[in-house]
Amino acid sequence: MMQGDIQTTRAGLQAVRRKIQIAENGHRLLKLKRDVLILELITIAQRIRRSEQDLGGLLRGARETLSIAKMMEGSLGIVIVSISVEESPEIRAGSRNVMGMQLPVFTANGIRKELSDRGYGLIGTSSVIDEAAEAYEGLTETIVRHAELLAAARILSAEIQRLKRRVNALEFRVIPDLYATRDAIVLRRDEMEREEHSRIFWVKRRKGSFR
Amino acid sequence: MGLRSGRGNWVNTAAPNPSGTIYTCTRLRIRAHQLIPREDYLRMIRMGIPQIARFIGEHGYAREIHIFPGSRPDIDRIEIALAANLAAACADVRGLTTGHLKTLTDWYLHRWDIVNVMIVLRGKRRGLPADRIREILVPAGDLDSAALEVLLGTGSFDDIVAELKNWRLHPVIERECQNINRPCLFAGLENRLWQQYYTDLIRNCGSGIPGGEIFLDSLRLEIDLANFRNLLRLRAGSAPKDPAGQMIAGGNITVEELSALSLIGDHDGFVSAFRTFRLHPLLVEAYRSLAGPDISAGEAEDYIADRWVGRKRPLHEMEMAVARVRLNRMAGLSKRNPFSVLPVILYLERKKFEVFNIRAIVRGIGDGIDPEKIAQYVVI
Repeated sequence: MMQGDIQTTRAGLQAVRRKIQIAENGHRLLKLKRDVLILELITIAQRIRRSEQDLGGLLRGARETLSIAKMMEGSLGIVIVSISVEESPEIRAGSRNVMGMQLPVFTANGIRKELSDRGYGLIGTSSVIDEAAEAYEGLTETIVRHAELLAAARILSAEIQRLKRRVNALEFRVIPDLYATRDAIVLRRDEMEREEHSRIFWVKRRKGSFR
Repeated sequence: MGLRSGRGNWVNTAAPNPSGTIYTCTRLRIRAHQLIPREDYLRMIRMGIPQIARFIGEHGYAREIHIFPGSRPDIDRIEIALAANLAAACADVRGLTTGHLKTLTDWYLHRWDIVNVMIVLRGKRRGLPADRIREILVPAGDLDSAALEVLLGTGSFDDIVAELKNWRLHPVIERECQNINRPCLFAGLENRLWQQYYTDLIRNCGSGIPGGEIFLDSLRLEIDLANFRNLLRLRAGSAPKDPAGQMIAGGNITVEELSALSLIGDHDGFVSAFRTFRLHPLLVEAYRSLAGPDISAGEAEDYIADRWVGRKRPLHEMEMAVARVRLNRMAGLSKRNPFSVLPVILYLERKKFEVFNIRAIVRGIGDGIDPEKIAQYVVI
């Protein structure tokens, strides 16, 4: 389909050809980017699946250990230990670059602690507290990693959707339109050339009859 | 009545009162027999929470259980009632004992002061409301409810430390809290308080008080078990470092021996060192109670060495087994010394484990744990 503001001149044709070239290059690059991001998303989805399985196991284990700790130390004992924690873990959000996309990277500091850094005294507590603390430290670490994967997957999925729309728009709308425009210009220019040729023919012929 | 001499040793100023001792020990032995028996625990494991509340209400916990406004007390409330009952039982024993028996009992019960003081310090530092802190306290030691209320009403950390100036372990708190902003302040403080408590207790028991020597044996075993347990915990949960600062001095196994043990990383080296310890037969017996009576000493040694070398967990199953065997040993010692402080300590320990058992059952049922598994955490 011919675009309204396109001039049927040589310059107009060259401009359309340039646009076609740019659109096709863009289409190829966007498709490449989309494919890479899809591959990355598939990798992340596999990791999420594994991480979910790990989380399930760790959560069950941590709950069981906490139940045992509550049985042995009482919930009051657990409260005492929980208020003993003096340093909270710190989670820093950074990013990594995948095909120009900024995917989140969460760096957790101070989740896994040594026994002497947990804040409760060694002598007044039992080993079940260590076991519960260790189980929940492991669970928290996995939750942070899982959150990073989920956030990356969400961003990637949104970007892939956007890219898909753009690739489809280029593939099924913009590039066919540009080809149609180019063809229309070529046709029009051929037409104009034929008209010009005919006009010149008739002008020459009329000049010849005067002679 | 005990008084503290200038050098910190305890001097028994009261004349020995054999009839008072016999009376107290006999009463406490009878009370110990009135504690909840094994078959009732096994019944309780299959009850619901309201049934357990009613059951324990009929078995010595009436005063604490019946203060609940509803007929269906929740698990947290039951736990608070159990702690209140334990505190009342300890106070009752303190009231019952006289003379050197009272002195030794008081020394033994001072351990609750450390627990309570640490709860108050940590709770205040964390900004917990006084009501919440009060629920956790077990005023079974020297610092009674009134003294703890004063601490709860005190505003700042420094004021609490100042308020404790008459407490026997105040110098430790003062020394450790000079820099209250240093990391892991409370863990270090708690360890130092326990270390000082045991050091004082051993010195006092060895200072010539009647019955002190008998108590010392039981105390040294307790220290050995605590040190060995903590050594295993440190090995499983920390980078290798000298554990001397976290150990309690005064046990049969010296801190130097424990430090040397901590350097051993191979199976055979550990087993040969472990065999020389006095708690070796007790731990073997504890493992037999877990794994079956046919287990040989070598298999028990291998199990413990495996945990040591592999830095393995869990350790709590063994801990429960050790608690059972230790109580049995204490019962044996108490029978051999029927009119000493041991029947008093045995009653207090059994009462403590009764409360712990009910708590374990209630918590286990509340969390939907299998009855067979709950039974593993009941010390009978």
